Amino acid sequence: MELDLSSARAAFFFEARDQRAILEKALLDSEAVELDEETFNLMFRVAHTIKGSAGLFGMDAIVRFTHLVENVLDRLRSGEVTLSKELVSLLLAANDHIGLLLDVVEHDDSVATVNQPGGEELMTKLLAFSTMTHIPGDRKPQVFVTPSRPQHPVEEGLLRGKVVASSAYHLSVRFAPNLFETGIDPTCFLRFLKTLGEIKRVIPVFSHLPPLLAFNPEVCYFGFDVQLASDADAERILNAFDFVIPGTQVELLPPHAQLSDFVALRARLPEAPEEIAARWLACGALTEAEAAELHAEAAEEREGELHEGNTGLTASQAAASRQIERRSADNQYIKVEASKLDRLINKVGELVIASDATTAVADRRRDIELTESVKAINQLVADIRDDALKLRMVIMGEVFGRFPRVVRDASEILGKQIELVIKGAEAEIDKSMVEKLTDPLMHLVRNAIDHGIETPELRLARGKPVVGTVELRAYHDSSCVVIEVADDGGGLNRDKILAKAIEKNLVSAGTNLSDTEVFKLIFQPGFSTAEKITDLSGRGVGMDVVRRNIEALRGSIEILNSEEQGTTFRIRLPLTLAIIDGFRVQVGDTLLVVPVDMMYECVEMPADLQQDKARQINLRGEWLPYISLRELFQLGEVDKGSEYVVIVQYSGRRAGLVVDRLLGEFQAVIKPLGIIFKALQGISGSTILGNGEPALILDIPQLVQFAWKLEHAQIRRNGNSSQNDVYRVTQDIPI
Amino acid sequence: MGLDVNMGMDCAEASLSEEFTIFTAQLLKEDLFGLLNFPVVHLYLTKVTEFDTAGLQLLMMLQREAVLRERKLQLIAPSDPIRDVIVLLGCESLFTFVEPAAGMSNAKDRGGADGTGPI
Repeated sequence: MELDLSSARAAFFFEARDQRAILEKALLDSEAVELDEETFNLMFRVAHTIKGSAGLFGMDAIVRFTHLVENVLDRLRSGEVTLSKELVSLLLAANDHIGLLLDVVEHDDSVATVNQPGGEELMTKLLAFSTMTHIPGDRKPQVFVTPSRPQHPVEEGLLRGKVVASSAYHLSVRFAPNLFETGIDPTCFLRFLKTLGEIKRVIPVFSHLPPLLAFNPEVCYFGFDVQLASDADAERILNAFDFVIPGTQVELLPPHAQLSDFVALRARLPEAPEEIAARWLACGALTEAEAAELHAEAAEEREGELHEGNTGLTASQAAASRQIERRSADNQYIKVEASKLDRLINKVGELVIASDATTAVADRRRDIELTESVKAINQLVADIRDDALKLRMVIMGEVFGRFPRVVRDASEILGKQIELVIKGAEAEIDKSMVEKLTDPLMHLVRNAIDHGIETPELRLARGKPVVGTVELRAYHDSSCVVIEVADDGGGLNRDKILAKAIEKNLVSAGTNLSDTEVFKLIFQPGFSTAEKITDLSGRGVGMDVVRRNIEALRGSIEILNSEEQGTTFRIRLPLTLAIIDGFRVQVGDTLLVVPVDMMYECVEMPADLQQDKARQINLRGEWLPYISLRELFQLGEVDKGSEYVVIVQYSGRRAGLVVDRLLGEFQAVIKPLGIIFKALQGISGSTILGNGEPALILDIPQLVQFAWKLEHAQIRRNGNSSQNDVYRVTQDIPI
Repeated sequence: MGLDVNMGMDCAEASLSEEFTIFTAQLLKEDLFGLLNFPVVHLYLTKVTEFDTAGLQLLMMLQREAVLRERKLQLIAPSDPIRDVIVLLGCESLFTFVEPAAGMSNAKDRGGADGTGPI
């Protein structure tokens, strides 16, 4: 029976990408702070996990590649190599390559065993960092030889520089279990060693002698430690082991070796430290005093570990708490298929509508008991709605997480020094927006690095710090999420943009434009002012795409600019795309919905204002443009009663919408309009009311903009707004 | 090569001969451990002509198992090849050998059990 592996396979790719992200983050962190042991272990485990899982699915290319990465990471954690900038770059590239392999293999299983372009080169480089190495616990058999003049890979504070008294070579050999199959017997080696000098002492080691039932007389359980007094050089001695089969561990320390080398050796041997120390003492490799020192060192190490647990040493404590965090984080999340979540939210939406309908029925019946009970249910439904929506919320950190890498790579390419500051990573945003938001933010950040931040020379000349700053900020503002991409670079150049716009015929020369209007030109398709086109940006695609993406999310983008001081792009997005608190209004026979969070207040329309042309009302001293929804949507007339003005605001601007009746608040589940209605202006979606009737939701940002546009047009026409046409609103109606 | 066993009431006397190496270890294992069904085992090693690490391991296991099962196992009169390997591998302290004259307390009672051992 064929096992269905497809879901396991999908899970593998998902997990592997997660793992990859962990590795990347750790590597990037390493540039700012010194990594602790735990992180090195974590990095190693990442590679190890990917390799292991890929092996299960027969993805040999991934196994081959990650094996090399794993080797390097293992040497890293054992301190055999240090994490240089070069190595960080190599590992980042390798990590990218793992991503590439994952992508390629996910789409086409048939290439699972084939190396991908670029892989060979990386593998060669990785190999350079992992050769001549012994991998403890690695299944791949290797022979490790400590160089006869060893560097000191492990700096053991106390023992540094101390050499042992023994004038003999020290050899530790642990034979491979299948040694006998080759017809070689350990005695051969000892006989050969005898020809090289005097074997002072042989200590046999039976590390894993099993109970009788498991004992296989054809398996070699033997190993030995030996002190060999010899004039032969190390190479000569090691020649004895030329024919030894893989899986055998051969360790050689020269006469008067560093005590720290013994410490390192002890760590590589499979037996318990105390046992090893006793053995070395017995075979004469160490004197009593040296063994005691080794012992003391081991004790200190243990004590150090204890300390880490108890005292307030910042680094270790942080590491410990991180560990706890990581562990608890593992338990706090479950993965849920996105479509299941969407279904739930959709159903909750229906529930909200249904419970509204029930409320209406209960109200009509005037049954107090029923009304009370429905009220309670409504409250619960509202809570469920909120909770359901929160399920879709993810923290902005998820979006921001990839930018440290982007900034690092980009600044390297451009030779600029840039620091990325992330603020408000804990602000929440609807999951469905995250993906659509990544690309626009990427453009903005790249632009900031490429065009915004000046070269180090120019920055110095301008009296700014050499290191430029790009800041990503997120925060909640009323019912919006605001995301800002700010740089402290040169800022936008108004004249340059204007000149370019005129050159591209986007505006006619001599047009009088405000700064804001000028800056908005960069969102026009095909607009780029960069003098030189780089890898990063400046190909003329981008800003218009940014604007379109943001608008598709019912968001807006504005530019705050100060020349030579920097630019900030401010993106406003709705918190969620699914449900809003709506306010029902009626124009003629038509019901329309205004999102409550964009409403400022409702006022009664002064009767004498209804015929005037200026289209302005005065709200406590502030002149606001208004538009009549009846005229805008060409809705039928009703019997002339009093009209109301709903004051709405968006992005700091207010405008009035004239309606016939105010009907009150309710929860609106947004149903997107079909593709046919995409071109519809002033409407952002639809909803179903409690009585089952549909209603359209007004697109307030567009309407506000429209009102102000009309206003400007009018001002231009009249030269000035005529005071005669404007009346004072006297009576406010609270909503 | 082989193991010759002479079974008494509560004592087994056995003699290993010729090869006691990787080539015979698997074959000898069962018979050797079978000896431990007797409370007292005398194992003569005089006739062993070839010995190696595999033989040494097996002998160690036998000795360990005897202790675990509280059997009285005497390894008697190892041949020179055995001694050589044991010395070479530094395992002198791991084995207690009995010389025929001194170690034959049980056999002595029945007489006849001298250095040649029962066959």
